[in-house]
Amino acid sequence: MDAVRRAQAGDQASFEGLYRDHVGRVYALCLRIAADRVLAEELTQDVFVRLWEKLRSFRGESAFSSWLYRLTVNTVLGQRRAAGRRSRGAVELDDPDSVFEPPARSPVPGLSMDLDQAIARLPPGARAVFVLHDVEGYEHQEIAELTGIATGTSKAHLFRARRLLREWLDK
Amino acid sequence: MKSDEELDRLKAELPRRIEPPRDLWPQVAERISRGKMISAEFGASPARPAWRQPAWLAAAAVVLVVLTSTVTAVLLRGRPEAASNQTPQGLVADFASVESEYTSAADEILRAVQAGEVQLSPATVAVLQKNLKVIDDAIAESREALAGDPANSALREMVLASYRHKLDLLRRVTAAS
Repeated sequence: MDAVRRAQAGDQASFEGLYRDHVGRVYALCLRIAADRVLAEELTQDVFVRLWEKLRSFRGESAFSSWLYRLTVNTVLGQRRAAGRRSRGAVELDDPDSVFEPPARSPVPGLSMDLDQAIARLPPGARAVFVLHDVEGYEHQEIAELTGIATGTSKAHLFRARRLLREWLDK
Repeated sequence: MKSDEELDRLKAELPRRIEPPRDLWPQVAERISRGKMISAEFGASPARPAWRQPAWLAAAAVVLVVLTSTVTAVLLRGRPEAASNQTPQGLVADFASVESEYTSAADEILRAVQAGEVQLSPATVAVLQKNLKVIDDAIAESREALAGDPANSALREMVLASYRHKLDLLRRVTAAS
């Protein structure tokens, strides 16, 4: 917490320490939701720049790491919403009830495990919900608030994600 | 089909941390410092940088081109290569792959801007175009230097840094639309 206080006071060396401590978790979250190495690097930078800008508003009411990871989720989802607007909603509107299997894709560099590669292959909506719920431990209600989808849609995305992952990992 | 229990076991084994393939801190530090400069110059809140202001875009372009040209000149005078076990051919192939990803990402945003899917004021579009030209010139300058010294990792990083600037500019401008 001392490093956080020093960084809040503008000490950039302490802020670099926070970066070193947390960049692995932040990058993992960005990479898993974005499923794109270059974009994940950009988002990770964005997260830490935003962290620097917002650090003074951290009051210590929750663990610093939880606060930072929520900032990460907001940054990643914000980018997705912007990308969705640019592509007329195509990113946001994958249908959780679709019976069509997503096409195969090239392995994402940086993801070593079979499960991680399978997660990267999920449709964007299902992927985000799966990562937030099953990997990061968010509740459906929280995911609904973060993503702007209904709780039921979040559950449907998760159901589809798990079904697809079980099928793919069995092959 | 795998059971839920097997899926849960695989999830539990997922690494919590994945280190980025390269150190991102220099770019973060640079952007933070840039934010401080913007704040001082325009009196804007650090929490809301003045990316929407054409004047800021013009200032950013000037800073970028001066920085890139200066660093290129310094590097061209010779700089020891970082130790690496990778072959020159492997480094060049990796660089080409990453460069291609940056180019595709930037082109995708540009297509959206050109197609009118991103609503920008005419003044902002004009300044954006002007700044993209500056950045593209900087990329071309670094690429030319790299062509004469393809094993120079610092030059490769400089080219990629210019692409990151370009993407950063495009994403921020379009996100603010």
